[in-house]
Order: sequence, then C-alpha cells, then structure tokens
Amino acid sequence: MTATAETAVAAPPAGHAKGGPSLAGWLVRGVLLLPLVYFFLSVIPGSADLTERGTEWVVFALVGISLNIIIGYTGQLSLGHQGFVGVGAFAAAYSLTVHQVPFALSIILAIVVGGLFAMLIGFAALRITGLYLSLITLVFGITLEQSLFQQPDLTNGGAGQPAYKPDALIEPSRYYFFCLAILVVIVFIDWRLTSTKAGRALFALRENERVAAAFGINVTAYKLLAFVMSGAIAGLAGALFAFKSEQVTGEDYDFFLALTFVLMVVVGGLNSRFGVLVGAFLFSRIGLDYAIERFHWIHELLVEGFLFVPGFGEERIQFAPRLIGAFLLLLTLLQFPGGIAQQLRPFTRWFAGGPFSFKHDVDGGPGTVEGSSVRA
Amino acid sequence: MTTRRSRLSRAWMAGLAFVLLTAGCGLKSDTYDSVKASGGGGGGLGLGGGNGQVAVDTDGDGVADAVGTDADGDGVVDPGTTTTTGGNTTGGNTTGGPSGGPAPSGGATTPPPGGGQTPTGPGTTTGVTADKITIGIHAPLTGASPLPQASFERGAKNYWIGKKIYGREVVLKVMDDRYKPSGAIAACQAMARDSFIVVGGAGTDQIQACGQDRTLQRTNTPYISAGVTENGLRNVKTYFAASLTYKEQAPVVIKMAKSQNFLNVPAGRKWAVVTSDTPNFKDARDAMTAELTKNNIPYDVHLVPKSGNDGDALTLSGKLRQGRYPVVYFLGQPTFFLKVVRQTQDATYKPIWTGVGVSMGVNTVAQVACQGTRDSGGYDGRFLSPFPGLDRAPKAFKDSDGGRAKDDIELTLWGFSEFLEKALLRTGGVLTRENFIAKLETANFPNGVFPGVRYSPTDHFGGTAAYALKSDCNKGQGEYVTVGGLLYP
Amino acid sequence: MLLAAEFNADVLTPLVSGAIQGSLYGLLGLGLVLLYKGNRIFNFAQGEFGTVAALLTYAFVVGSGGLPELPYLVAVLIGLVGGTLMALLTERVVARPLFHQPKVTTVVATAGVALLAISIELLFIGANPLTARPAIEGNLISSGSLQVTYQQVLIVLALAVLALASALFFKKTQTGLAILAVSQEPTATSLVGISVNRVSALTWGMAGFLGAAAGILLAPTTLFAPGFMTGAALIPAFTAAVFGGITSLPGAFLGGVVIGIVEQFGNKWVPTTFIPGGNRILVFLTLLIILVVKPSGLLGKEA
Repeated sequence: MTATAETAVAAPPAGHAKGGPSLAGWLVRGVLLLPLVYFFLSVIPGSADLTERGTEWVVFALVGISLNIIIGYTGQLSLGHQGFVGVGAFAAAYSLTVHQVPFALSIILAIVVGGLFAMLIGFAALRITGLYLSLITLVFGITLEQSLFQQPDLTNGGAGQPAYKPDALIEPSRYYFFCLAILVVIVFIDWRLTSTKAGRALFALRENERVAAAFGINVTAYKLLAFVMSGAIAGLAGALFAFKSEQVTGEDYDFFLALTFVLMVVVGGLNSRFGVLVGAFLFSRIGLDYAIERFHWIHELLVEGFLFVPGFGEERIQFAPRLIGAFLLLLTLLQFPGGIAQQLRPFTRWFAGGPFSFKHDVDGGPGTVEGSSVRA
Repeated sequence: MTTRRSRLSRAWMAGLAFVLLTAGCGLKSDTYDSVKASGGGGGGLGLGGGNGQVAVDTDGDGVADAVGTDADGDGVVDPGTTTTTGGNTTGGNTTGGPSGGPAPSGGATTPPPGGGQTPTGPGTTTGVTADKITIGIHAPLTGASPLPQASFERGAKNYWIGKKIYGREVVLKVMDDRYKPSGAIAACQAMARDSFIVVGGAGTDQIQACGQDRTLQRTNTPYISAGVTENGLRNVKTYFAASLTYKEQAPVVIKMAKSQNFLNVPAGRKWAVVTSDTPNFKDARDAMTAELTKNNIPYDVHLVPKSGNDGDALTLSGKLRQGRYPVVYFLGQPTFFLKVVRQTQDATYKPIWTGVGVSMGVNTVAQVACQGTRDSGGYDGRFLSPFPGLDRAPKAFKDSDGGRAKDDIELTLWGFSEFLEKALLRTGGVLTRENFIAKLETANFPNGVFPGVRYSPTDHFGGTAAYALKSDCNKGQGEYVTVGGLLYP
Repeated sequence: MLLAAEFNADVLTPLVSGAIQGSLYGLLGLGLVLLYKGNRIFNFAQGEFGTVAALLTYAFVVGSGGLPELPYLVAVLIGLVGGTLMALLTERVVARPLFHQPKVTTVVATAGVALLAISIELLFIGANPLTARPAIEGNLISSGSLQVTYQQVLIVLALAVLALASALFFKKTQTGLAILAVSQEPTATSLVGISVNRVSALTWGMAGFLGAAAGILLAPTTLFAPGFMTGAALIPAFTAAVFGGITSLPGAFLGGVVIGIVEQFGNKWVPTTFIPGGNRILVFLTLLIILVVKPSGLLGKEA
C-alpha cells in the first residue's frame, strides 16, 4: 500500500472547509468523552485491583509511545524494547536502594540510562537496517535479560532489587495519578514533536533517507535522536514499573514481554498514538486478562466452549489471553493492518474536530516499516 | 474497495461498542464488589454474628474463656456482661460437626481495634466472614518450573472437606505466580486484600519476594511458607517458616549422607556443591560448605546461572563429568536440574544427587529424571523434604475424597493444611491477623504429616526436622520413597 | 597424562560438545535459510513446526489421550507429516495473502503463528515437561568430561545429509531454480509460466519438513515441553543462519557449529561472578560483528 501514512491525531484531512466544529460541536464531543474521563479518573482509582492494573496500563502505554517513536520515525521494528525498559527499571532501583539516591534523581537516571542503551542500538542501526536490525534488537534484549539483568550485584537476591516508593506516593491511587500525569505529559510532548522541525525531519527520514539527506537533513543525527528519545521514554517507563511493584527482577524483561509490546503496538495500530493507548489497554492486565478473570460470562464461555468449539477448561484458561492475543495479531495483519486505531478512526477523527466519515481511510500497518536494505 | 472497507469498519465498530457496553456493565458491578471486599466495610465485617457477642481471652492462653457483649461497639466488652464458657472451646473441639456451644464458635469476631471507629483500610479481619475463612496460596502453576495445576487445586480443597474452624468453612484460594517474583508480589498483594493469611506454595525467590513485601507487612498479613532462604526474612514480623530453612538443613544433609553411607568419598574425589548464583541461595551454600569442612569432606563449588539454558547445562555437565564427583549437592531451578542430570550421567558415571530439595512436584522431578536416565543407570536422588513420600502418607489422606489416587502435591498441601488448622485453632476464635500472629509465635506443634514446629516471638523459623527421600525408578514411572525416620539437625 | 586431561577439559570438550550442540541449532537453521532463500523472510514459527512434530510423535509413541500406540518410525512419520502440514497451512493462510506486502509484515505474522501454536500446545498439554524417547539410545563417546550420545551423532548426520541434499536441490534441479527465481523476481517468473503459488507452497512445505525433523530429533535431548524449540533453539538458530550466510544451506551447518562452540567458550571465558550469561553475550557480539562486517554471512553471497 502507499507509504504516505499519517499519525492518527495529526492535522485534520484536507477538504474540511468549515475550519473546525462550532462551540456546540465541541461541547457535544466533550460530553461524550465524559464517561471515558470518569472511568480513568474515578472508577479505576476507586478499586485497589483496578488501580494496580491501571498503573500497569500506563506503563505499557509509555512503552508503546516509545516504540512508536522508533517505528514511526525511523521505520524500524525494535523487538528488544523490553531491554530498555528493564535497564531503566534497574537503574532506578539500584541507584535508589544501593546508593540512596533521591527518588526524582533515580527516575532521571533511568531516563538517561535508557537513552544511552538505546543509543548503542542506534549506532548499530546506522549500519544495519530492516529485518536484520529487528533480529539484532531481539537478540540484544534477550542477552540483556540473561546476562546483565542476572548480575547478582544488580539484582540483589532472587527476589530482585527493591525500589520503594517515597511515602507521598505509597497510596496506590496516588501513584496511579502520578504515572497518569507523566503519561499525559509524554503524549503531549510526542504530539507537539510532530509539528516541530525535528518532527518533520524525522518523518522525511522515514519516507526516503536519501531525499532527506539531499534536503540537508542530518540523517545520522536524527536517527540517533529518535533512538535516544525512544530509549529515554522506555527507561522512564521502566522506572515507573519498578516503583509500582517495588521489586525489579531480570526475568520479567523476557522475550514474552517483547512479544506483548509488539502485539500491543501492532494490534492497537502502528504509528498511531491512540492505537498505542488502546493496544496497551488490551494487553496489559487491565484488558484481556481482566475480562477473562472478572467477566463471568466471558470466563464461562472460554471454560465451557461455544457451540462446537471446545472450551479451555478451568485449568488451562490462563493460556487463553495468549491465544486470543496471537489470534488478534494475525487478524490484524491479514485483515485490518491499521489495527484497532484504523477501525476507530472515524471516531477519533471526529473527536479531534474533524468530520465524521468512513472515507479518507489511510492504511497503516507494518507495511510502513522498512523491509531490508541489507541485501543477501 | 471503500464500501467493503466501510462495511467491515461498521461491523467491527458495532462489535467493539457491544463489548465496551457489556464491559461497562460488568466493570461497574465488579468495582462495587471489590470495594466492598477490600476493607471499605471493615466495620461491616466485624460484627457478623449480629448478636453483639464477643469472645474474651482472660488468661492469654489462646483459648476463649468468656463471652461478653459489646453493645455500644466501642471495641471494649461492656462491663458486667462476661460469662465464662463451659470449656467447649479448648483444644480442637470446635472443629468438625456442630459445636452447639456458646458464641465463640458461632461466628462472632472481635471488632477491629481502635474502639468505635470503623476502619477504612483493609481491616485486620480481612478474609474472615461469618461463614468463611479465606486463605490465599500462591504457587508457580505456569512458568519455568510449574507445578501440576490440577493436583494443586484439588489438594488445596482436600483437607478441608467437611471441616469447619469456629463454625466457618476454610477456603484455600490458589493464585498463579508464574514462577516469577513479580508474579508472586502481584498475587500476594491481591490476596492480602481479601485473604486472612497468605501462604507461599513454592519457589525460593517468589517466597522471599512476598516475605519482604511492604504491603503485606503494612496490613499485618501473616505470610507462611516452607523454610527456604533466610535472606532478608529474619526480621519480618509477619513471616513464619513452617519447616527447616536450607541453611538449617545443611547438618541434616550430612546426617542423611552418613546414615545412607554416601558422606565419605573415595580418595581423590570430592563432593560437588552446585547452586544458582543468587544471594538467596548463598546462606544455603555457605552452610553446606561449612558442614562439609567440619566433617573433613573435600568439595568443589560450581555456580550456575539462575535460569540456565541448554548451553549452561552442557557446560556444567562437562565440569561434573570431568571431576567425576560421586556426590552432587544441587540447589537450583528444577528444569535446569533435569537437563543437567540427563546430560551428565552415562553408563560409567552415575553420581548421587542430593540436597535440600528440588521440586516442581518432587515426583514430577523423579519421573522425568528416571525416564531421562533409563539408559545410563537410572536416577539416584537423595533429597530432604518437609513431607514424607507417598509411601508414608497417613490413612486419613489416602481415604479422603472417596479414596481416589492422589499425588505428592496433594500430600504436601494436606500436611500444610494440617499445620494451618493447628495455627488457626490457636487463635481461640479471635480471628484477627494480629492475634493469629501473636498466638502462632508462641506455638509448639507436635509432628503431624509435617514435622513439628516451634516458634518464639524472636524466632519465626520454626522447623525442627526433615524427612529423607530417595528416588526409586522401579516404582511406577519413578517416585520418591521415604528412608528412615525424621532427621533432626 | 595430566596435561592431556586438562587439554581435554579445557579445549577438546567445549570444542566437541559445542560443535554438537551447535548442530542442533544448525538443523533448525536449515529451515530458516530455506525460507529466506525462497521468500526473503525470517520465519519465527520455524521452531514450532518442530515442537508440533515432536508432540505428535510423542502422542503416538505413548498413545496418549486415546490415540493408538504405534511403532516409533510410524509415529515419526506422522510427526513429519504433521509439521509439514502445519507449514503448508501457514503458507496458505498467512504467507500467501501477505506476499505482496513488505516483508516485515510476514515476519511479524510468523511470530503470531508461533505464539498461536504455543498457546494451542499449552491448551492440549499443559505446561509440564514430557520425556521423549531417543531414536537410538546409548553413548558413542563417554570419556572424561566429554559425552556424545548416539542421538547427538544422528543429529549431526541428519544435518549433514539434509544440508547437502537441499543445497544440491537448489543448484541442480529445475524446481530449485524455480524457487530461487520466484524469490528474486516473482513477476517475471510467473510470466514465464511457473506457478508462484505452487512454488511458495513447496518452499514452505520443505521448510516445515526440515523443522519437523529438527524437532523430533531434538526433543529427546532437552527439556520437552510446549514451545521448547522456540525457547531453546530458535534464537541461536537465527544467529547461526545469519552468521553462516542466510542464503547458504551449508552455511547453516557451519554457522551452527561455530555458534555452539562460541557458546561453550563464552561460558568458560566470561566469569559468572563478573557477569552471568557469558555464552549469551558472546553470541550476541558474534552476531553484531558479522552483521557489521559481512552481512551476507560467512558463506553467503551478495544479492
């Protein structure tokens, strides 16, 4: 398909001559958004269980934004992103617990370390691209998990490196709001970035490196910048994740987590900030896991089976989310390449102030990710 | 193409809307339930009996001696309302069958401390209602070294069939910790919200993680597990080890080796001490090497990664084969152990594998090890264990639940449940977490399926003895049998 | 005498056992190379072709779940057929529709297939390990620290034979050339009258067969549970294939051996007290270096 994909929440499509909806139009949009706002700001913090899951969603969403930066701006697929998250988590935990660094500083350290590790991969990405880069990131992530993250000094006891929240944030709902606030800030920064010169440069980069270079864009610098930014946000997510569970263990950052992130980003909708949020919701423990555990009818359906399809049985239902996730991934890739975000685009476009229509559909999907420039 | 796509989009969106709507409905009712359960109703739970009666323990021996009334709900028994009980509540009489006795067995619980105010956080009677006591137990049901889930769930129910503690049904709620400390913490924290006490089923790192978890400590949630590492758990007021820790078992391993004649090795040979390179196994390793030194047995230490892969198993097996160690003490991940056993042994080299226990269900380990070494002389494992092999299972266990066949997982849970019952009964009907802890830390239980346990307020590591298990590859597909009696350090 | 023993332990054992372990990786890598040659993709589901085949073989050897107990070779045949069918199904349902999309879409899709396969395996079997019987029991060499079982010898032989056979297939036969043609110039090839669909099915079928063979041979040598091929061998197999030359079948053999040896020496040289997982680090560095220095791999050719 065409390569001219746009991010979902960018400028409204051409042809919207009226110059935006009226005040009444905005009011209607606002009112319709209220249940959503209520859900995230009141329902979730109201339940201890939901708060914990909601915080995980926020962290996953941050990772998704970070992954989006690499995919959206450099056109590469990173399969080892869990490594950067882990690196940030350990940096925060280690500095706080072993070196008594203050909370804020430990988070900053996580950001810096995440950015640094991503920069290493960025350097590799200058020479290796496409499928091979994906392979390298994959092996990098797994190597980190099985070597650095098992380092006894770093992991301090099989239970992991502790990372205690400061007293002000001990209350789970407070910590949830703290993370949510950070997510909002990061999404905002990411959104503004697309309208700055740097953002446009990154876009041009993804479309065609040689043309971008011809226009005087320093390809190397911007590529590295994208990786560093991505790693920094991933590191931040890692720090928040560390403080959420108050223990950091290496084996959490395994290949399965990498797969979860890929599922999240692809099924949610590549190159779409909204898609990332939706995908994170679905694949963190507030999504499929929660639905299967708590919604009685879903639980029963999956345990007993449906018509001629056999159920999982009570014992094996824990594998259901994985199965559903894989199925969704294949469905997305084969039928709905832009993911959920693409399907919901008529709505998101309307909410952003555009017209409501089923047309002007822009295809997303991994097709926008570069193939390989290392020929064999 | 647009029309087909828009049709698809519409169908997709309709479906999504439907799901979201039902989600909204489902979500709402669940939120309400969980808010109720998480202790917002601490006051509501307290006086469940409804008759305002309160159990009082005047001589502090853990058994209720009197019944009083607390009509004004201020947390203090109203003066002049106490009447001594008829002795029906001593010992274990309140379990099984109708008690017909006075109120303590009838479902009254003391109101939470703090006289009169309704606590808004998780109350200390969390997990206790008028007719049910919930105990949460986390275990690796999935992950790198999982336990057989069906057996675990059955075993969790088995002991408690038809039993009541203070008129309440006891429910063991099982949660999967995915063999990861983070999974354990998530499970423990969730269980601390709706279970009376939390039990660690298996997995050293997982147990240590929950033992150290601040949320559990902050809510006075008692956390009990089999003895594993002591790292970081020595000073946790809410943690209890129900059997000997690895460190405490080191001299017992020596005793077992002596009694089974494999302590001494031929001249020029040594013991191999193989453990995962994590601080949680350091105290076990140090204690073992100290004991070997004390007995003048030469040894070599080999450290392996916590979750070794095939290449690591190969490297270790090379080292073991080179040293031709007649005895290998192993403490590490069960699946790694199985890989190593298979790759190390051959027709000319068959070491004795020993240690404080390697389990994903001990008989699962025995079975896979036996099958994997069929052409290299079979598997010879001599491990300690807090519970006996199936060959020593008590009759009550074998007859329970219609007398069906049961495995070692169910036996472990049976023994553990026996211990939990004793611990619950010591509260004398005062079912608050604080009282549970206070009473347990002065407990001295005799041997049951589990060896006896002795606690003190300064020592929550109560194990006293262990059984010696030996693998028998000719029994079924491979099983452990008990050798001799209990061994004491 | 003492020196020989030390040489044996320090050099010979890691070398030989590493080489043999590496053959395991190479065997899986053959299928990876085949699909890259044929379709220019990385197939993340290659390991699962093997797991499924191994599970089918196990089911019919042991007679589990009401299935009849069959002789070993018959069960192996069923396993091979099963793995091949799974690959053909993947080709039809996943690879063919995505044929004209950029390759990375197919790659992610194969990861989805792998995840789906593992979930279904877990569904049927649960997470507990099984024990697979080797084709041949017993040891060839068993002296000092070195142990080589007959099963492992079988693996090396199978690898050699299959690598040679597939290499010849591509060089000498019409079909082989057709596959290469399709991978390089799909439009032109179909114009000449070669059915792209049939070639694609053939390629995947062959890869499925190779993966199935790998799984059946490997299962007795390691912990046999759902997803074991992907967990234990897929990443090293990728590294081996890329290292040896992602378009070279003999390269997969060579790459496998080298990676296996690198792993063993990584364990030896990098002290675990400094940083654990030495074998992993060295494998990663090897991959990085080859991709930077000669991306087409040791025996691969450009374009």
